[in-house]
Amino acid sequence: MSVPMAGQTQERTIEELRSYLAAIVDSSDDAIIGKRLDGVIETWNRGAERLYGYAAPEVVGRHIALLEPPELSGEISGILARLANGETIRNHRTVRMRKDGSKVGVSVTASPIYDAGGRVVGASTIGRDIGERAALEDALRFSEDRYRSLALAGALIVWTKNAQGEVVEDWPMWRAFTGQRAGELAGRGWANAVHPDDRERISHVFAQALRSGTVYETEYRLRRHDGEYRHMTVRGVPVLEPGGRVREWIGSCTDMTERKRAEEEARQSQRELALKTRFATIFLTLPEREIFAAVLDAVLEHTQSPEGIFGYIDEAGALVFPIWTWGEGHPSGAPGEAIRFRRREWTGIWGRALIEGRSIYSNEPAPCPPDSASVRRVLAVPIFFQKEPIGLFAIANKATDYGESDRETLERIARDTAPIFKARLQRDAQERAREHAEEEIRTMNAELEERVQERTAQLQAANRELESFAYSVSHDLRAPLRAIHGFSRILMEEHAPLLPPECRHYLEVVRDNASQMGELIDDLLTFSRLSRQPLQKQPIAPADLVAQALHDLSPELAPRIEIRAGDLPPCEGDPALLKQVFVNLLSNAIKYTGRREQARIEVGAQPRANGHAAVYYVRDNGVGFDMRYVHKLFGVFQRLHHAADYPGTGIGLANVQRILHRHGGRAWAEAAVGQGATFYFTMEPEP
Amino acid sequence: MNRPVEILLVEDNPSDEELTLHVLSRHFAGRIADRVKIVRDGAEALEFLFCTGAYAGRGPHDPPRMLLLDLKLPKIDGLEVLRRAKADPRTRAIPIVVFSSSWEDRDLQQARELGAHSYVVKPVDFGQFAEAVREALAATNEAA
Repeated sequence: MSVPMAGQTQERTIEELRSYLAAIVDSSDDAIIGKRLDGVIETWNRGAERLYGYAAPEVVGRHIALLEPPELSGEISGILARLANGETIRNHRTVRMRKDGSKVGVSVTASPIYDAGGRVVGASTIGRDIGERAALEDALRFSEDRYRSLALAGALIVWTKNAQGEVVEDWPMWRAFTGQRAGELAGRGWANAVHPDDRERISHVFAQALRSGTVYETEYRLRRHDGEYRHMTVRGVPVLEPGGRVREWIGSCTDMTERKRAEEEARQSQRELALKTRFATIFLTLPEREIFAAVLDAVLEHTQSPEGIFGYIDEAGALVFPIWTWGEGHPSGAPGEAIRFRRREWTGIWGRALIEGRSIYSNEPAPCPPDSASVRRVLAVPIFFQKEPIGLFAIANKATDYGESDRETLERIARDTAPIFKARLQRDAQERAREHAEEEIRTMNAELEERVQERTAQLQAANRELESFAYSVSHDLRAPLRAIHGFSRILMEEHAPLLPPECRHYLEVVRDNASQMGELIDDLLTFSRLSRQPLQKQPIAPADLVAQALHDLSPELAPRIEIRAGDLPPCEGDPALLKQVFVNLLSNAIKYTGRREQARIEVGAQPRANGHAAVYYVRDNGVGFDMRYVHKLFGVFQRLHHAADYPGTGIGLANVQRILHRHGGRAWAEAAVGQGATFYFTMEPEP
Repeated sequence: MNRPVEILLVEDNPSDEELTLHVLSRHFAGRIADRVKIVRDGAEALEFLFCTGAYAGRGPHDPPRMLLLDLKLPKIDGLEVLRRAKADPRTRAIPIVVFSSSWEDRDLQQARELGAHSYVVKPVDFGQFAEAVREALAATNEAA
């Protein structure tokens, strides 16, 4: 394999350069260390051997952290991380630990090493001895920095006093916190940083502790270097000599401000959470009229206000206070009653708050009602839901003035309450609408009932009139009829021989007509009785009624008449009246088949379907009738045939219909002239 | 009117009165029709029965043997006359045949309860009417 000349020449040159650089590194007084990014040492020059006391073979392959003194633990890994990011650290003054455990102050410069691709693959560190003193200075400064950091971090201030409670040593942490200078602490100088209001109290505490020589704890506000007073808890502990005497006091101040604030906030949010829960319970469970008192109670308790009002805006835009507790001041306002303020009646602080749509507080007695009289301090907060005002909280007469924090608190309550309050208002409005509708229905029903009763009374009156009319008819029409009938009979029976035949004929006609009129009157009375007589309903077997009817009609039955009865389903009704129906229909059928050689009369029923009433029928093969006059069929005294052909008063079918109507049923008929007729009827109401 | 009254006819309709008298004269022997006292209303009927008013001078010991009593009467109606006649021991025993125009009469039941001897629809059927009167008169004979 041949290698190009030029390449060989170049390689040699790089090899030479490496030796050259290695010589420079090796001869350097500074400690030059090569390491990987994970901290493993790769190269270690003679300078490093001299500075740290380790020979190269002892440390190459080990971790660079072996140079780190324990108190600086973590520093080197921090530096490695910065190097990995490509950062160069210059003249970093720190302390390293030699092989023999002694410390050495060094100034370190560390740079990343890149590979050909530009990636950081390692680092070089140049360390220079800066001597013991510098290291100590640094260490001291480090220590002060730490005290300051510690103090400012708010963790702790540590101090000492002698047995008499005097400051004899420097209090660097105290100074760092308060910004006082060293000379200011002597005597009671330190106490100048304590809040003036707390000084007298704590001096008593100290005096007491000095006398008793026991541990004490107290709190005071301490002015920080930026002027802000911080809440400190202070603990002093006596250091005792073997004989039990106090040698000195060691104490600590802990800044509790943040913790106190956090605790206060936690307490606050806990109270607000409890309040929200209470509201949710109230709005979800209480009846409408109790809600407002309950919510108001909760708000007043939370805001430490003895008085307040809580209202909602109703459908008409008026503000309603279901419970008015706001002293006097409203014309109609007895305390405890609901009061409704139309928009133009909105007055005082709460009125303005609503109109202007913002929270308003005042700590001066307002001159105008209804805030007058008992209301000295007041805070009014409108309740908004989706930018729409839906109600108002106003609280009053807290022991101290209302301020921004009260406003924020009540606004937060209003904000938190709004959605559930709105939901409840809607529910109540719906409830009221429903109640209103129900009330209207009740009123309508009552009116209807009243009208029905009125109508019933009218009908009853009409019935009574009809009845007395029928009664009068029975007496008054009969008297003259009786006279006509009676005297014509006397004439016929006692004077007939004296009368010419023509006169006797006329007398017969008079008597026949008088008889017929008597029948008409009787039928009319029967018809009227059917309307008045109470129904005696009971289960009925219609077949039995048909049998009874046929028995009653037996004088009219003749061999030429064939009567067939099919299955008749049972029903309910007044048996006497329904029997009359069969009697009338069968007697009609007999009458109108009178001219048939073979009369056929059929009684039957169509099967009941789907809860419909059974349809019964009486069918004959008689003369039938013209369907054009079917509408007259069931009318009183309506006849479709000549009396000479088929005698009768024309009341029978009217009675049939009257009876069936009273049962809730109905009657109808089908027929053709000469083809017979079928009368259908139902005896029960149909759905 | 010296002879004792056989029948007190309480009737306000003259035609009915005439028919009644006619039937009585035809169906009863002994000119009973001559011994019928006719009054036109309930008040007069009670005065006759209890010998008061226009009949104050009448001897109390000759009550009619029977009453033919129409129910529909001026002043005091037939049921009231019936009630008072049956309530008084002096007149309780007198049989009373109640007249009415129709079987439909709602007072039928009440008349029976008050002690009417019988109930007769006004004489269209003369024979039936005569029979009722005969029975009533027979009842007084039995009692006597």
